[in-house]
Amino acid sequence: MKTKILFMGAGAIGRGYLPWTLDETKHEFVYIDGNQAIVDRMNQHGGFTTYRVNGDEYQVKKVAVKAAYTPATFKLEEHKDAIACFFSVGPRNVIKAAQTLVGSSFPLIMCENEPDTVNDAKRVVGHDKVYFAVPDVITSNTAPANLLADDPLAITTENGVQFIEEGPTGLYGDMTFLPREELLRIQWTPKLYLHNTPHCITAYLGALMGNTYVHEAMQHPKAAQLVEGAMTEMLRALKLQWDIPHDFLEWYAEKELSRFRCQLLFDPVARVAREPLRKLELHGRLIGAAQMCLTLGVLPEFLLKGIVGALLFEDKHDPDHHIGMMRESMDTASFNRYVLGLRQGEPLDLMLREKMAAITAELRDFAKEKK
Amino acid sequence: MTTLDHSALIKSAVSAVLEASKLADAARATQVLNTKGNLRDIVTQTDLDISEMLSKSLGVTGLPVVSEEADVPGGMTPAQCWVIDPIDGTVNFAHGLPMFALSAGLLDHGQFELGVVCAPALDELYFTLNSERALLNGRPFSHTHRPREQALVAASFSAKGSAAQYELFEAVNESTRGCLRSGTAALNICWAAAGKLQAAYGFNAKLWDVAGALAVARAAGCEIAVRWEPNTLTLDYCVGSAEAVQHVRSLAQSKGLWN
Repeated sequence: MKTKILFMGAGAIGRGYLPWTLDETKHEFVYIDGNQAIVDRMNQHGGFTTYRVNGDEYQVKKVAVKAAYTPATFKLEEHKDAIACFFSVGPRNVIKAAQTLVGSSFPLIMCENEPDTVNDAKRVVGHDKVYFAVPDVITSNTAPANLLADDPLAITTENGVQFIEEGPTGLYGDMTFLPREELLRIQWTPKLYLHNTPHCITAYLGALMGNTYVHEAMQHPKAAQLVEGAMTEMLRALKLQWDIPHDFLEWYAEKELSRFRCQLLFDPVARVAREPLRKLELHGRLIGAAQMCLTLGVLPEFLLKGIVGALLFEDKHDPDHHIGMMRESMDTASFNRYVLGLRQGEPLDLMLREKMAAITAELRDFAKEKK
Repeated sequence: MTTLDHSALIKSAVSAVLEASKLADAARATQVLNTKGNLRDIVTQTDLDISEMLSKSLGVTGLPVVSEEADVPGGMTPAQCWVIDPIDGTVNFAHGLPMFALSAGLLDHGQFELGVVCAPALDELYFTLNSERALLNGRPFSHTHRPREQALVAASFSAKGSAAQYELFEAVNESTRGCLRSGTAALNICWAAAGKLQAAYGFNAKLWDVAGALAVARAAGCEIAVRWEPNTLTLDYCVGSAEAVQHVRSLAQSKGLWN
C-alpha cells in the first residue's frame, strides 16, 4: 500500500523537481496550492508532466496526483495519515500556508531557501517535526511553448540532488539525509552564496537587458563577465571563511555557472529576480554576501553591481514593485539605512553611497545591449 | 472635490520627512526653547527648524500644511491638507530618549489617506504605499488582530490629563498585559499597526500627533475608532486589534470619556 505525501505548493520545486526524488511505487501525491487553475487541471487530468534535462534532451515523467486542493478546500482531518509534507511556497508565504496544517503531527520538510522558515513553521503548527531541506537544483516554473501545448502544467527541471535534515522517516526515493549542522555548513552555505547570489544577479542583469530567461542573460559577454566576477568574489570569501574543501567549492561554482547557461531549462528571469527586497535582506544573498566579503578583506566590486541591479529591478507584477518608488523618494544614505538596514558609515554603506550613481549608469547601459 | 495623486504625494512626503529627519539626527538631546503652558508641552529649536523645512517642502505640492508649530488659519482644518508634527515626543527627544518621531499625514475630507512616520533614533520608517498598504522600512505589513488577554496597550495623555484618564489608564493596565506611556502618540499607533502593541489610545489628542500614524494604521487593517471635536483639530482615538479597541472603548465609556 502506498503512503501519502503532501506537497504544500505546486510551483517550480513542488511540481517540477520533487516528484523526481520520490518513489511513486511507494508513495501517492496530494497537492495543496493557492492557484485554482493548477488545482483544477491536476484534478481533471489526474496529474501533470515534468521534464528533466538530460544532456541535450529531456527525460519525461508523468506524475500521478491523487488529489489537489486549494488551502480553502483542504481538510486536514482527511489527510492526517500523510507521512510528510514538503513545503515549497516561497519564504514569505510559509506562515500563512502552515496555518492550513495546524493540528497535524506529520513531519514538514521545508524546501524554502531560508533556514528561518523552519522556526516559522514550528511556531505555527505547534510541533517540532519541521526539517530544513536543500534541493540543489534549478527548476523553472514553466516550460517551452511546444511542451506547454501538450500540458499547460508542463515544467522543466535539472537533474539535481535533494538534501534533507535528518528526522523524517518512511520516505523512499533519491535523497540524502544529513545532520542539521552538516546540511547547513556543507550544502546550504555554498547554495546561498555560490548559487543564490550569482543566480539572482544573472536575473537582474537579464531584466535590465529585457531577457525572458536566465540563459539569455548569460549569452551576453558583459553580463556573463559580471556574474563570473561575483562568483569569484564569493568563492574567495568562502575559501577564507568556511571549513569546506576548496576543490568542492570550485566544483560547485563551475557547476552553477554551467547551470545558468543551460538552454533547455527556460528559467524565467521574472521568477529568479522576484521579490528583490527579500533578496536584499541584511543577512541574505546580496547584502549579506557583500558584508561577508568586506569582513574577510575581499572587495565586493561585482557584488556591489549585483546589489544595484536588484535595486533597479522593475516588474509591475512583482510584490516588491514599490522598490522603484522608494528609490526615487529616498537618497542613497536613507535607503541604505531604512530599507537595507545598514549602519550609517559602515563600509558597505559608504561604498554604495560613493558608487551608486556610476554603477547605475553602467547597468542602465546594459539595457542598450539587449540581444 | 479635487482628486489627489496619491502616488506622487506619498513620494513627496517620504522624501520631505527623511530630509527633515536629518535635522533631528544632528540635534539629539537638545535644549528646551520654551514651554507652552504645561511642563510636558515643550518646544525646541529643532521642532521649529523641522516645521519650517517640512512646511516648505510639502507646500510645494500645492496643498496647505497644518503644523503643530504654526497657527492654523481660522482655527479650522482645510478639507485637503498635509498635517505635520515636526517631533512627536519632544520631551523624549529633549531628554535624549529614542522614542520620538517626525510625522506627516494627508487628510482628505476627514479621511487619513497617506502617512509617513519616521523614528530616526530607532531606524524605523513607517509609510503608506499610496493609501492601500502599510510599510515598515519598505516591507509591507498588516495588523494581526489578537484577543484582549494578549493585548499590550499604550496610552497618550493630552497636555493636561484628566483624573478620568488616569483611572482609565489603571483599568486598562489591570485588564490587559499592561498599558504603556511612551510619550509619543505617533509611535504608539505605528507600533499598534505593526502588531508590536494591540491597541493605542488617546483623548484630546491634537490632529498633528496622529494624522500620519492613523493613515498607516488604516492601511495596515487596524480597527480604528475616532471621535472628532467640532474644531477638527482635536480628537479622541483608539486603534489596533478589534477586540482590544472595543475593550478600551468600553472602559472609557464607563469612565465617561467616550460617550
